[in-house]
Amino acid sequence: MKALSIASTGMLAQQLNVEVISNNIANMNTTGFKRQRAEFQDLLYQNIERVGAASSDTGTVTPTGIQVGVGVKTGGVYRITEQGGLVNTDTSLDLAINGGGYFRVQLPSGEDAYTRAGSLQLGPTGELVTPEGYTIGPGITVPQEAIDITINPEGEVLVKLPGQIEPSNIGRLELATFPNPAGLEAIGKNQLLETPASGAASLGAPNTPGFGAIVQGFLETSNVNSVAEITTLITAQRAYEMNSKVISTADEMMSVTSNLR
Amino acid sequence: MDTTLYVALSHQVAQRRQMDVIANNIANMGTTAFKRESVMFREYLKESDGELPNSLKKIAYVQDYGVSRQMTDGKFSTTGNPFDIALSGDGMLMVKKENGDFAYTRNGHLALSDQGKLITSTGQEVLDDGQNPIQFPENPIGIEFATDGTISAKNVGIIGKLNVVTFENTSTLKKIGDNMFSAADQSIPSTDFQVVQGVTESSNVQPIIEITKMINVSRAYTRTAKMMENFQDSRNNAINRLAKLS
Repeated sequence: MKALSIASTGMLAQQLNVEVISNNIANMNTTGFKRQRAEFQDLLYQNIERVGAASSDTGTVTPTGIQVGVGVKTGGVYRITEQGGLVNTDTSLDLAINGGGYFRVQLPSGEDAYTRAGSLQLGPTGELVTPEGYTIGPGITVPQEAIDITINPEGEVLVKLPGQIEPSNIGRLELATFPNPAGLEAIGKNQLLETPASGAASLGAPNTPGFGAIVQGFLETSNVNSVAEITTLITAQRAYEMNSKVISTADEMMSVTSNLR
Repeated sequence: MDTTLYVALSHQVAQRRQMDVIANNIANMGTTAFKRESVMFREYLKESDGELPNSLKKIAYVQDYGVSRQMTDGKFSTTGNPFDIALSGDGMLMVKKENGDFAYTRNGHLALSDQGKLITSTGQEVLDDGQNPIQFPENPIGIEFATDGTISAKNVGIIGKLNVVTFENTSTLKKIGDNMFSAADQSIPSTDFQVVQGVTESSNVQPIIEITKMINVSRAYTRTAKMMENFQDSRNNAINRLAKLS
């Protein structure tokens, strides 16, 4: 009986749905987190009687064949790259991106990762780094004697040095954009990697067309909407229950058959 | 003489088929733009041999002869993703499969390929009204899908227009999985549709209807099994009693 295996694909799909939703809820307070959504597709169809098969030798055809589907599969889990809210932290090295783009992070392996979590720190040599200590592209070193750091919306890092009236420009942060940001691969720690699906990164200066502006003293919150997540969680749970109901009904029908005298 | 059993069997086979279709509907309750299906039955008359009055000669078996699809719109659920669109009303997006064949889908979860072409979530190119792929410029900002399917970006203006098509008879469409349909007939441009941005169409499966149908199927199946048993019992009784008489 196909109903059994069809319902099991349904249960597996809803289980994954619940997992995605719980990850969203768990990351509700993660800086720069983008909520995810599972997308489902129908599986193959068995053609028991083909649409348009001849139903007589005079050329009449069946207008509706018999196609029985064999269940559901997960098409993908994709990120919704909607802008999250900005929250004031009053910390000069907390940066949020208002608009498109990602900070480039130089991983210890030499690869580049991309992130929207802009809680920066200073490294041992005064470099701008992520909380993990990875350098933020293009690599800006803040002099030790600097009194004050200002980062303007264009990403220019201005420091005030003792004895100077004008702040001096010590570099400009860069942002990366992708043709398909939803295709980036998440590797944890708020970091994403470039993939063939995302396309190649194009680097540019903040606050130019296509690139967002840097907001100093703010962090981007996650774009998880708790009400929406809870309602989808309820639907997913009910859908799971209904699929299990299908399994028990199919089981009942089979036991009826095997108990025939 | 086993006619009763065979008629009952035809009913059970049909009920099993219906159960499979219901299971598929329920499994696809969360599938984007899934259209629910139901099985259609008819009676299949056959003349029995044997000495019966004419009015009793016709035996009606059950036969399933088709699966019908309800093409009504599913509910719209907001995702907030600018590349998620839903079609309200009659129409389907025309896409091109890897092998060059055209396919049709109402799944509006779109994305850009690494070359900046508009694709579906399964990677098929979405076609414009001239049946060409829709190429996006680099770094488009503020992408808008107008209700007539025109795509524009704030910084580059109009990019293209979705080819939304329909068919004279949608029941001839064949499901090929991955939320897509294939068609043997020529498509015609749809006029009765609206493109809505930031939402996706959920399936139009109604859980209450499916569960009720399922209960029905299960009960009907059990009833038929019971009937088969009753028939067997009465035949056994007849054999036993007749044997005693002689």
